[in-house]
Amino acid sequence: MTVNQPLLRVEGLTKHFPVQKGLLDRISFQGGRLALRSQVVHAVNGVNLVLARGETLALVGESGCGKSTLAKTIIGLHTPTAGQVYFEGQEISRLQGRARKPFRKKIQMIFQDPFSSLNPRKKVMDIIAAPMKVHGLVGKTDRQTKVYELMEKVGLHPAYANRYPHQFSGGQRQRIGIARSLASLPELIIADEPISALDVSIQAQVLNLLMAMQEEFHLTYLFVSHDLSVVKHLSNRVAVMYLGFLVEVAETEAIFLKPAHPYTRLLFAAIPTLDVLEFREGDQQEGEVPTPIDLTRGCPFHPRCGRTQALCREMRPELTSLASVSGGEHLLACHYPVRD
Amino acid sequence: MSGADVILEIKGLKTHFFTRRGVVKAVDGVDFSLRRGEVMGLVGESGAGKSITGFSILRLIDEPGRIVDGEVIFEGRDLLTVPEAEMRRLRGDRLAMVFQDPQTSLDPVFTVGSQIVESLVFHQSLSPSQAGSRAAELLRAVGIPDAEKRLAAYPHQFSGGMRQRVVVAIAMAQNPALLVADEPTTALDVTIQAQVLTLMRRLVRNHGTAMILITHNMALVGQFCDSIAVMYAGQLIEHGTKEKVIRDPQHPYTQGLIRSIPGRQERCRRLDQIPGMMPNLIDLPPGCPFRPRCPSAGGDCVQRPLLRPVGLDHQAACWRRNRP
Repeated sequence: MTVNQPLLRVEGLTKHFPVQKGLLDRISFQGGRLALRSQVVHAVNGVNLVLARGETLALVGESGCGKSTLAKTIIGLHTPTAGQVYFEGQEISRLQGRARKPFRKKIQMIFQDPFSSLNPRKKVMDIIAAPMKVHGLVGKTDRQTKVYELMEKVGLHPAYANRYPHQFSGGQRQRIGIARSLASLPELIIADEPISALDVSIQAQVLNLLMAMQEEFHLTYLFVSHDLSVVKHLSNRVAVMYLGFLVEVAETEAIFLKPAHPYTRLLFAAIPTLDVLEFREGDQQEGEVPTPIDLTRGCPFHPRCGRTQALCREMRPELTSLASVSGGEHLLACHYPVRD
Repeated sequence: MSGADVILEIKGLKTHFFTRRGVVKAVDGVDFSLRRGEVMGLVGESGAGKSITGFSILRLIDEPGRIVDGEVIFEGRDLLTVPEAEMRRLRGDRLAMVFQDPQTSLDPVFTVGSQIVESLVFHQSLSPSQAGSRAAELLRAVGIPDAEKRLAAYPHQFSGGMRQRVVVAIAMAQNPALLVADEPTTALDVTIQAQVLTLMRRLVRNHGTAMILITHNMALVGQFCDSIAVMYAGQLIEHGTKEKVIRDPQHPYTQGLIRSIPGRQERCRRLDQIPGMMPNLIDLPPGCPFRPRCPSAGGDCVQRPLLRPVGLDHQAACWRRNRP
């Protein structure tokens, strides 16, 4: 293992889901003959991504853009249709059972919904102790002390260890989820919209906790979110996804300063921030996110893009490196990037 | 904020829910007024009582809830004393509401057209064919292409953003004087949210409709509204123009909330956070509801502070801010 080896490398990762439909919906005429058509949801299409140890990469995009599917494929909740996931240099995407187990320990996930991601029939003690038990990390006798320790770290009173999830508020439940993800001493944590289900005054509390835990445990975060102010605050790099494709990847400051992809522009303009108090009507663009079932030719964004030219309809732009002023890498998939 | 232009004035509104576990004081003494054409953002966390305030204006409170006190004076009449039959005519005519989830506020077994026509026939006594062409007009006005054809479609054949446009079209059909929108874009994607809000803003402006936008998103009201009212634990704790409330908040809760929103601090620094969480609305202790979490709480906070002027077009309910 070299020192510079990335913690996680994703290559050409693709995940397609077959559409489950009745026979009648699938019958179509092709060349005068009946044919059975099978439809596919192109959730993730050929994603290349690298995560350096200790960094926070934010994955942003609208719902249905495939960001959660990508996260779940990386952690192994889905088997990829094509492509590879390398963790510390080892391909893990098709590992199963015993071979997978060490990686389950090293990659953990924090889910969006703190209500459905905790087993309602287990006590907090058992929920947090489960990863220690499964991975044989802490002996039976020490487990209780370890759980108390973790609970204190995430800001829960150890006296609550024998309570059930329903006895806690949303913010407290998210703290339980964070404690559980830390229990196996992971290196990478995938957080899928970890604060979007929480109340505004609680969001800052959980964000602070996530930042503190990253420092203390030297964690690497893949942070899935659509909240740009949060992304701006805690990520080092931002990856923008549209219809299963990565369209722009750059350092946080660079992308907020000079978003180069028209979609990134649209997305950033649509999200209100406290910096601007007037309503800018001119920025709005019509059009909706198309379905990922039938992929269009060319650039996935071209039907909504205001700068579409002939090339955009014909050829899909590759994610390539853009000459960047700051020196950091700026990747972009666009034939006619925005420059101003 | 007074004068002849006031179309809605709420005085001492109290809506309580009588549950087996106790009385939930969801709205506990709210006062505010709204001028013609004013767009007000009503913000707060879940459980702060903002939706119940909205529902109370249209008298859409169900058992075990009850509006126990107060006045809702709309166009010079107290809506709380209007007979139910007349209230039914007012809803959808002078008063309209848009709900959070367009999936559930449209009936899945009727076509979009028939749902628009229903309201037109009820309120304007149009003939079915007149109503049909008016419905197509309304759909075009909210930016739905192929309006005549789309009238025959069912709600599930529309996307979320399109459905919410239909709901907005129905709500605005009678040129209401007041539109209450309860988290109208929370279920939508951000780029679609911007489209729907632009549309609502334009319609409201063209018709001179006053609007209450209920949301938890501070940045959204900052952009979209003229004034902001902040609710906490069933009470209105700050009210003023958006510039005042966002740039110069006076109540410690609003101050904490705005400071805790990331984006303007140095990157990766710890955010200022409000400790604790909103209290249980059953057995809410007397006095300022924010007292347990407040950094500047003192002995006088056991008395409930009322909303008082802290500046021009700016009010706050805090003992610390009332003394000039």
